[in-house]
Amino acid sequence: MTLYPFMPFKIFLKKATGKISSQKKYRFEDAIRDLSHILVRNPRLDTLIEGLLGYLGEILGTEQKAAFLQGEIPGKFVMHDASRFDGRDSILTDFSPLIRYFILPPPSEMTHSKEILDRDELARECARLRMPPEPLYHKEALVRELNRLGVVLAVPIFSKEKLLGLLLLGEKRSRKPFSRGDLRFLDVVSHEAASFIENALNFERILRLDEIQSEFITVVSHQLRTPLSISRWNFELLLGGTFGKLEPKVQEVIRYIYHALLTLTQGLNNFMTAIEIETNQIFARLQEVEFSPDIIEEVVAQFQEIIKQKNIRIEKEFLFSGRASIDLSKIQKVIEVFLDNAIRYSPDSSTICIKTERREEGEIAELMVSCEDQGVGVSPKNRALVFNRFFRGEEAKKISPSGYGLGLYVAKAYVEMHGGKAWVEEKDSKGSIFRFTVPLKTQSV
Amino acid sequence: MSKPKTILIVEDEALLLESIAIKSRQYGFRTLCAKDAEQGMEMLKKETPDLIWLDVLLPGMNGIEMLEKIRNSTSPAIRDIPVVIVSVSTSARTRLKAVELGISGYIVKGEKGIDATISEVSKILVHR
Repeated sequence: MTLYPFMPFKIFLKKATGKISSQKKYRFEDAIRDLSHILVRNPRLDTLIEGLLGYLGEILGTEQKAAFLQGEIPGKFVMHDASRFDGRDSILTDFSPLIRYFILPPPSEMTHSKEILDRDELARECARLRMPPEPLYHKEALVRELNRLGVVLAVPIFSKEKLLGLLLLGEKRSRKPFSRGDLRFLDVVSHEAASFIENALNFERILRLDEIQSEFITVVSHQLRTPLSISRWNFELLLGGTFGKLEPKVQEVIRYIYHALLTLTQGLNNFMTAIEIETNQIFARLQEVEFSPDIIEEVVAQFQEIIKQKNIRIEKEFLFSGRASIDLSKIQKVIEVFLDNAIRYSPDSSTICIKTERREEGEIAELMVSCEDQGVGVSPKNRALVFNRFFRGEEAKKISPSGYGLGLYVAKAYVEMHGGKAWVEEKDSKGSIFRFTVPLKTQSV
Repeated sequence: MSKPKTILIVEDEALLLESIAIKSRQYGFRTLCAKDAEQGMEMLKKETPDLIWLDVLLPGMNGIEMLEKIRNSTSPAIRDIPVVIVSVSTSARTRLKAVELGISGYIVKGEKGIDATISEVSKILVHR
């Protein structure tokens, strides 16, 4: 048995076909083995079809060849890897007698044919029978279609009862007809190749879906973020008095709209980030920074208004000082999510404690940030679930019915991008403690 | 009193451009405003700002192309101007391209309030 381990495909093809064409005649077993090799090593549709047709062309001695495979729209078969193919069509639809022949059963039959169509054989049959053409299915129409496409053979590729496509082959360079052995070989090829072609078609479909999803993310993010940022920043200028003093009632209404807009912006940002996390489009860019209390103060400052409104006391215990290798904006986002939840689910006039400290986990030094509140708390059964995407605990829903359940999911993903951990802890008294750790030095994540 | 630092703001949304300029001036910066990259490049021929606030999605030449032109400029003064990308795009590809060309910051537009955003930009200017 000849093996071609790790051989580039083109060299393999040259060696395999060179060997066969020099022998003039191919050995059935060798050809099937070489073909299996081509099918196995080409998961992508283009290279698979190129390899398959290239090999068939070489060993059967045909110049013209093309594959028409089921496209995204049902009933439309798209041309792949045409070589010296004179047919003008790049798409065959189910209006083509060829496609109809393989997808519709003839009037007298229960099932459609899966046999290879040989133009010359069909023509002989037509001459012999001289039967009047049938309306939907007749051999003369098939001969005309094969002539129009400039090919002699149409090899159907079926997966169970579904037509995946056709391999079309032109005349042999020798002008000799295809032998029974050739047809038997092509029949085996069509069966062998079917599952590989189906997998490759599915793979292309998945890649296309991925592309559509990415395009969708981009469009949504651009179309929504632009008007949201225009509104947000201008509302801030309005409320800040940049455009003049506002009547108290106007100020109250604008403030209300502004907060609704902030909820929408935050929801959209979390939603888009969650999609980016799922599609691996987001990663932490670690930089060594001095982890000063200012980093947390900046986050707390964003909540000044609501902290004042709810008369919440923020205790700060900054025990950590030093440098940390982090993606600063992502770590600030994690703190923001923890603090936002703590404020949202805490009663008025309660205390929230934010603490930073150094922790040794085995040989790894970590920065640990905790956010402790006196709020509604997380029930033991929900502790493992609160970081799941779209999860919202019953206690949380009662207090704040709106919300997407994405903040903690994003926070945990950000921490894990750093090689750290995020969790919620049991507390003796009322409330909860959310903590996260990140290694101080870059780890291979 | 020291001369105020100048920011060139390249942003195609008129209302956004105005709000950024107003807030920047409140922070004590002098502002130059361009509604597209071509206008921004024209302004660079006349004046060298201390920082460029650059949007990515612009009509005509986009922000990344403008950044590339700046970094390939024959004038060292223009080539070395710090650029902060402020865009709605969170695409990793755009971000990487911008980082490769050399930027001082990448801010997602509207993610933070206008104060926090200008304050972030001003930190870059202060540290210069």
